[in-house]
Amino acid sequence: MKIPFLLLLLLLFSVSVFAQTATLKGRIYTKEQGGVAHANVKLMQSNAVVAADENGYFMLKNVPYGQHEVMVTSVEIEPIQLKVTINKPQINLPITAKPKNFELNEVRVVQKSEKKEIETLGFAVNVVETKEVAQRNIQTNELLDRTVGIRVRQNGGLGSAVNYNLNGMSGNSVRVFIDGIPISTYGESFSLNSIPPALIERVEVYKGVIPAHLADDALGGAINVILKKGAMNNLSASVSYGSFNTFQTNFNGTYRNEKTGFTVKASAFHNYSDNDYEVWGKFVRNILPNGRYEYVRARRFNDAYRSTGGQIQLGFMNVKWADQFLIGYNGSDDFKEVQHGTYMSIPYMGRFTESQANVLSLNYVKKNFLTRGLEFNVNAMYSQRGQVVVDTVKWNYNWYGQISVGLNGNPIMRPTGAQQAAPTIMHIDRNVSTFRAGLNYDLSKNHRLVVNHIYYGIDRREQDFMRSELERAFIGTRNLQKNITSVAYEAKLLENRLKSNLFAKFYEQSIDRIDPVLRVVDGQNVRQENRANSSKKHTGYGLAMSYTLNPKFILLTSAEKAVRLPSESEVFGSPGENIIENFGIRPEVSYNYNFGLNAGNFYAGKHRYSFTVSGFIRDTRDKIVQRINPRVNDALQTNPFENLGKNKAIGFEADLHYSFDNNLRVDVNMSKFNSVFNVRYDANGREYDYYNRQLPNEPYWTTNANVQYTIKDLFKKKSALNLYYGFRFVERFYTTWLILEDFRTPRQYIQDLGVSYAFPQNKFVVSADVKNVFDQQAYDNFAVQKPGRAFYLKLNYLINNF
Amino acid sequence: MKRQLRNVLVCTSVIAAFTITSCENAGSGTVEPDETSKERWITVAGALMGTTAGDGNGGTMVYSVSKADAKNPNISIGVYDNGFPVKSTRTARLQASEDGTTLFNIAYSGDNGGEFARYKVNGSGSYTQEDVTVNISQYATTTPRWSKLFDGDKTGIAVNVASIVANNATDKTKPFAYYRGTATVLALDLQKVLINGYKQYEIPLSAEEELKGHTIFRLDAPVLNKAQNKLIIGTWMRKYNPATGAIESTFDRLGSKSVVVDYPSLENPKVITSTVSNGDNSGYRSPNAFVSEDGNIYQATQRDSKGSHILRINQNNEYDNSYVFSLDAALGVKGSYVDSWKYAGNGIAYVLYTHEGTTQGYIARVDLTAKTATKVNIEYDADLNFGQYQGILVSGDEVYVAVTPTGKDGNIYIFNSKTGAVTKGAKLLNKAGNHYIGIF
Repeated sequence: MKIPFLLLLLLLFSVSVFAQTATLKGRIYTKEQGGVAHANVKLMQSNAVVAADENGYFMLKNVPYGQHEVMVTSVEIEPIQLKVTINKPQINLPITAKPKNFELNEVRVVQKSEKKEIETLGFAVNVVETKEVAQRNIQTNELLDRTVGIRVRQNGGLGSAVNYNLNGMSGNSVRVFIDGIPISTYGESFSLNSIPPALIERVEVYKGVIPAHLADDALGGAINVILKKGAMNNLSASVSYGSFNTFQTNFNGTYRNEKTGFTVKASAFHNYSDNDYEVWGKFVRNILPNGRYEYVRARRFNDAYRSTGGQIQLGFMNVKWADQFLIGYNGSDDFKEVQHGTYMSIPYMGRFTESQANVLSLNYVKKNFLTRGLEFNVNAMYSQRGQVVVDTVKWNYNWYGQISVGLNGNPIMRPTGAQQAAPTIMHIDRNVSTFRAGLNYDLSKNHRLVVNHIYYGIDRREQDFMRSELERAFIGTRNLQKNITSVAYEAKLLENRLKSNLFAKFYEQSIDRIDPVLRVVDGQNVRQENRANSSKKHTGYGLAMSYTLNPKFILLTSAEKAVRLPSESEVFGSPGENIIENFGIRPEVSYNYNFGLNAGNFYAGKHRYSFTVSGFIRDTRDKIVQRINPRVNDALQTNPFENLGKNKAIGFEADLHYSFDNNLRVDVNMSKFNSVFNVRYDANGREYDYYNRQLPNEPYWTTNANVQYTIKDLFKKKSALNLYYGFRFVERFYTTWLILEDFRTPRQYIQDLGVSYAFPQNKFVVSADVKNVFDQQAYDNFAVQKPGRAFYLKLNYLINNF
Repeated sequence: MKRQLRNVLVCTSVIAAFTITSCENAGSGTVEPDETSKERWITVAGALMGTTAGDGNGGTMVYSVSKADAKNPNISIGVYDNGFPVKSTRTARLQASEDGTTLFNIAYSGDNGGEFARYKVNGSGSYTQEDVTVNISQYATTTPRWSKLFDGDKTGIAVNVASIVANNATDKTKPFAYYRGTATVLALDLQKVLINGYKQYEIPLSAEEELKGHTIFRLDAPVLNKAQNKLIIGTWMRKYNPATGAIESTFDRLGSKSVVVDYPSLENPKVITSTVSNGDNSGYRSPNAFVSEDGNIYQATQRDSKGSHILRINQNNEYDNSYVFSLDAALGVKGSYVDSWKYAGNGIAYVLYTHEGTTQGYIARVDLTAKTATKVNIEYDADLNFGQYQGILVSGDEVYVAVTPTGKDGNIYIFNSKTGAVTKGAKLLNKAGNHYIGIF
């Protein structure tokens, strides 16, 4: 593993030096709009290419003396071809361009370039833009689910538990960040379930290899939500209503005083849904008193969701002493009823969770801090999170929401005491401190050093109010601290054709366990604390590279030794369940590789298309599993968690974008992988049957298609009518090792339709959506049906430059 | 070709045997009415691993052979390649009809957890699930513990203990008196595929025991007494520390306890206590108590501080404390532990056990009258483990046990309960991480 990395390093630095060369500098601009951002400047003879910066400035180094033909292209301008003679070391070349007759609005072009910029750095990353979707009736999780290589698995309707699968890795291998801060700072109430796309600038989905600035022990990938930074002095608001009594609203506003730089940013959202959609089929049945099934079609009755949240930031932006100095408060609250457990075959009544978070933050960013080329950023947060899980209803309910009656005519008690398990009113309180600081230093125009540190501390306390006061006094507390330092070296070489990012991450985690115990001291019972600590250190490293073959083709590759540190329960076990501690447990490690090609845009008349294809490998070792000792039975389990598992995922994905005459847009993507059991031999050298076999419960093949058709100037000039069609396919898969049709999920073909009408100036947008048009039984998880056909209507209002 | 022909002949004879004997089976209530001479299907079950070798969590496969094939060491049986998957997310909890024609299963966890289904045994990997199912999860969880009574395949009994709490959990003004859960005892009609009835109650121990924090954590392994008027249900005890609410992993154990309830009313639970042993007697995934011809019930213990004992419950449904049978003493080992056992008639039983200082499983032939036990001489292996073993088949004088070390091939062994003879039968083909869990 280490040797190839060294070789690559050597490669990076072996930049050849030319004799008799010059530097060609200049700016591309149009008379109408000024500098042309990100235009491509190409020398026809040598194929050397450089992209202009945001203001149209470009620089080509090492240009040999002599006659050259220069070609300038961009989506915004008509292509230009001109001749230039290189006869001195510095040549200045201003280029005047003619804007293309292109009716894309300006904002979109800029965003597209930002997306493209991130996507061509070398990482396997998708930048999901929200601008358009924000005006429709689409949840953030739905948006992610349409993205290539991501499978979002939700346990029901709006607000229910979500699991993300990125290229075959899921669960706690995937970490979610908000503006680069781990989402656990905010908790359930401010999550991808509750934040509407309208408050999100973009979502970056890093698969397998994660850049240094997103520092956490993410084994399989990271989802980074960038909240709206907002254009200055605007206000937007929307309200939406639809099936299942779903009501959603949000607003977002930014104000900056030109003179003082004083800035206020505020946003808020509110979501509510009854989620009382109909379910049916073989998992939806009432159990009669004699135990027989009665299959029914019923509405969900204990599934409501409500979330409210807001954020306000005050401070200064773009002033002399700071590019950004903001003090903020983020508050959120949610309530979610839980209709069922892992499977919907047993409906629950009265189980719900509630959570709140109060987060204070301080944010400081300064470019050219102390010295030129040094960017400094600090983000400090303190959050108080509370969560309550309530489950006290002791009767069995059927799918009609009625108490089940037993053979003797009496109500039947839940065999576990409450709906899911024993009765509980569990309060879990966490105080989370997060501190992140970063330094980016531009060594020269093409070389940058990035240092980033994050400290993350959680104090957790839990109390179950269904237990006696005495018992609650003997429930332990857990404190966790993580320090992650990451360094990265970014270089642009070979006239910007080769971009590389070499990084290393140093993880340190410390967990304190404080368990109260009763000891007899001088014949007296005394409450004492039993303390234990586990410290883990580990290092991960990686490299991302992109190579521009020519402006249309970019090769991308990245690799990382990713790490997931063991959780508190994996280290300390669980004395109540007789799982003993294992202080020697090692982190899970995964060697992740990505290879990709980014191609486009290609033009043929009014047709335009682009595509990406990529392949990936996830080689996970030291997976933490619990070895079951079959001798001792489950309540007398004394086996700790151990590093025994090995999995491997190999797959590919492809993403195609096509447009015609700026009216029709088609996006198609597919992802397919083999996620296999990778332990080959048992202790006696016999090969496992599962070796190289697909792991159960992995949605390994998904396809998405989205079509948009725009009709301009309908009814009114400068208005736009958009028609949308969406299609999702998920191949069926087995949920257990048994090859049994009963444990196989059905194949999914889900289709959505939508329409939106933007009034002139884009100030007012109305949109309507029909989801799951054909009322198919949709499943993300086995035996958990998602909503059927649903209708939504949304109004958006935007004020610019008030 | 020759083998195929032979198989056809065997099958026809099996079918013929069924048609002749089917009307004779009147379910007399005596122990194991099978005769050695009767032909019957023998179902072999194997558990697939889930994530780690030997965990048995990947599901269950079954395969059936004739008795002759089961005894034939030249026959190889591979349930994992040729078997039938039983519909259960985790290890199925299987039982079979006394004549071997029907397999009963209650699915363990998963979307269909608690679902009772009958499978008709058609030979080799062919099983037909009967149309009607019944689900007991509302009464007994999706992971129920159940046993078939020896009453001619009429009844299954499922038991459960839910939500153990202190009496003063929500009312701190009350002084602490006990930890108790709610017990459920449910009767399942195996023929009509219906729930017959159920009862729920708290089962108190003595006030003194309860004040120390002792409670019944689990019920398991019910058995019907000879008079068929009481069920004797095994218990698994737990102790809380009343001063902290913590579950204690080591504690001074009470004498072995069973719960006696009226049958078929399932009412009037009563706790009986042995002074001979302090182990639990809940068994694990297989019956743990049997009625012998003398009318007494013999019950094995687990987690016994002095090693497993076989206890006797007399016809008055009380422990007979004059009967002392320590397996440690009889086998000359320390810390013996009965994984599974079965009474084979005439005072003879076969016990699958392990003991202190080893993780390996062994088989002993036990004489309940003479209180002696001898390790049976078969090919043992360090990876042999009967911890999840479910089914020992007694057919006439013959006792069938599937012996496969985890991940290694093994054999069916046939023990003659009268003579003690050991016969190595058909070969059991195994796969890495898997093990066979029973013969039905």
